[in-house]
Amino acid sequence: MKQKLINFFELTGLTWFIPIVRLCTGDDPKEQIGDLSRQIALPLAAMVSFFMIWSYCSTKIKTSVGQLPGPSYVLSQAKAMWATHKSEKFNKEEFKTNEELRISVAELIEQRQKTTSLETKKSLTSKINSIKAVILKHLSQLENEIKVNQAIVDKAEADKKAQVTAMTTQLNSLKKFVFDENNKAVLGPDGKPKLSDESLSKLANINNRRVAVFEGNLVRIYKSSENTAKSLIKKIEKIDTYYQQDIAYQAALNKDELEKKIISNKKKLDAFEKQIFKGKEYNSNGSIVDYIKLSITTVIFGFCLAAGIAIPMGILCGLSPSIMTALNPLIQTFRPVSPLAWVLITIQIIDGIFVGDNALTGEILKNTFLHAGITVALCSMWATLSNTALGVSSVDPDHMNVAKVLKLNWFDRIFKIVIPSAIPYIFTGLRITLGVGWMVLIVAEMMATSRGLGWFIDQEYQNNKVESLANIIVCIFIIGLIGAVLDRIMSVFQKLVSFNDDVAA
Amino acid sequence: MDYILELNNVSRHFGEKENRAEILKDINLQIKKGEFVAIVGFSGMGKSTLINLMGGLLEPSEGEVRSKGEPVTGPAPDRGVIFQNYSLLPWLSVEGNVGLAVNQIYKDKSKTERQAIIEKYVDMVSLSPAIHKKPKELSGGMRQRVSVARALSMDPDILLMDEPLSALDALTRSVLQDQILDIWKSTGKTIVLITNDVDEGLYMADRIIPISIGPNATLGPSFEINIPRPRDRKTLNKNEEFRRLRAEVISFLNEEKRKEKLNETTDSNSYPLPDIAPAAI
Repeated sequence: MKQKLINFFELTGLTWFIPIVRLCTGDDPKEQIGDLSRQIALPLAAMVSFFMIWSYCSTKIKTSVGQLPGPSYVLSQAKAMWATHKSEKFNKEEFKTNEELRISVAELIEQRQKTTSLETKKSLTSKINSIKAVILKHLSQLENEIKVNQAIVDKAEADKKAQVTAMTTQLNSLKKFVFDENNKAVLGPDGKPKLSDESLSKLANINNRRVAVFEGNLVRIYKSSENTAKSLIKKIEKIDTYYQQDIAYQAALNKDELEKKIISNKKKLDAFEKQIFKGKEYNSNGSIVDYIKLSITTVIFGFCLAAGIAIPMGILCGLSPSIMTALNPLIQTFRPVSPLAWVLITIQIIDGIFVGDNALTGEILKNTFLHAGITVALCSMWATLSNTALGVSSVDPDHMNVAKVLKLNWFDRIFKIVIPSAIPYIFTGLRITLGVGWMVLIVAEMMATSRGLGWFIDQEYQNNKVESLANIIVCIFIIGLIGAVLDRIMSVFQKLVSFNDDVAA
Repeated sequence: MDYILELNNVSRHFGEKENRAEILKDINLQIKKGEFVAIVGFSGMGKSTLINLMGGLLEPSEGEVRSKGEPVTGPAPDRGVIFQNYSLLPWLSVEGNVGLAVNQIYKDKSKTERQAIIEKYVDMVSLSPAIHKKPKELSGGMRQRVSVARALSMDPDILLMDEPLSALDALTRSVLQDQILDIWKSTGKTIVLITNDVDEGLYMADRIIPISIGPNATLGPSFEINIPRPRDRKTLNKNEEFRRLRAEVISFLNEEKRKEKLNETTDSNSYPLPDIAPAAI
């Protein structure tokens, strides 16, 4: 058990857990604590000093949009992004609930329009009216939610106020004014003594804090959902009124005299029924989690595409020196091309293929995902290609001798000897490919406007605000972390398939 | 009479023109069925080239190699080769390595039958407990035993062993020598053992043939070893026949070494080399 855990941590590179495991199972504590402090304390110290330097620099560096956000501001922004994601999720759920209710009503009305049997019509009408009860129940739930969340919002707002007041008083006590050479306070444009840059940036930092984003959004979302539900009820009621009216008119004895009224009543009924039939598209830019999901999907798509092209080609190149010689100049030429160049030509080629001649008139493929994914594949496949070729061409001659003595046929030679022995090389290539692909992805998404992290960074950049700058910094951390995790995963695979022990960590 | 393996005036060189390196010249060798022949010589004198020629992995530049009367055109499973560096496939377990050969040779047998064959040969080299292990988890001696099992599982008529034991420590070596002898006795295979150890050759073989020093290495006289089996390692050193053969083989090899040295001194372009000779001399 112990050895298994240690092996697992060694495989995954989480080596700082090993001393903890050893400590828990009663190995020499002195040695393990020394190990632990080395493995945890040193990186921790480096991280702390990084944040301190960043924090200090952020008070000194001015960007084109304002003060460079410090760690605490970025953290608050990250929390705000998370809050936006949560409210986004609620919004989507509420939208879905309302849409489902609308669809069920629409289906019943459609059935009622089609049927001729009076009995069925009657039962359908009562069913439609019973949905009203469901909506009302939903509404009462919403009201409850709003009440609960209103309290949370109020509390959060009060907290924010208290926090800001506390920080302002603290800042006021430490306020540094600018003095001229006569030791007289320099006046600002508003006639008050001018604050030092550091004090100003701290003040700005406090005022920029965003509090209660999520809670505030919640109330807004619930209110809008409430409106949608209420309007649905109203529509159902209207439809019912006109429908009943229609039945009454039809049953009336002086039907001919009422013809005009019947027609106008029918028109109104039709209009409302049409409103119920009309579906709504969920319209939103999504949240950070959506961007992350799309980015990861895109990079995996690009990676699989790259592997699918590069591995067979690499095997061919490795097997036949002639093919290698033939393709090498092309490979060497395309390999160093920047993703920026690839993405533009990829967009145009893909549009040309999928949209056809319409592309000439400006129509573009909606699937920006393909643009980004193919660009990732084009830029990242080369490492796998050359590594596979190397692995295949450098099969141990002794292993080939074994194949000769056994008289293995061509197929068996390739699949039983050549490819297995090239697998460690292939996986080294794949690991590089995934790393390069993840780097390329951000640029590709920016240019292809595929709604992933790269696109989000570009959007934030266009916003031109300190807040956006902080968002970009959050994204940088997210990108880095995901990249590191992807690399770890590939390194685990690489270690699993390698039969030699000399694989770099 | 038909020999199981014959080499008639076989020569082999590598490269052409000024780069031409004559490795073997005028090799004549006849091996009878069931015989155990040892070929002994200094390292780097073309012994592996000789095994590769017999195995069909290399073609002779001149002369011909015949197996059971037929000219050898390429490698075949009836001539099993055991390589000096084991040549195990590192991504396969012991079972997989032996299985690679078994699946190739017994294509028409069922899966369970093939599994039984694999297990039989792994058991023959007493590796059953390690059957699922990968080569890197095995010691050098165990790896060589896997190699032996793989070669045996092809059920070859002749086993060609290229310094199979030279990378092993002395104790493991003697254990494996006995194991190989047991297998030879029980299966009646023909064995050609290439070695750099005269004592090993004398202990194991029916016939020992020294190989001269290259370039242009060739086989020396063949010495029959008329020491009754089973031979006893402990008393072998006192055996008159053993001592006589040993002296003769070593003096042949020494003479070769001396000749080579004379050649070197006449060659003005060569670098001076330290005067090193094996301790046995």
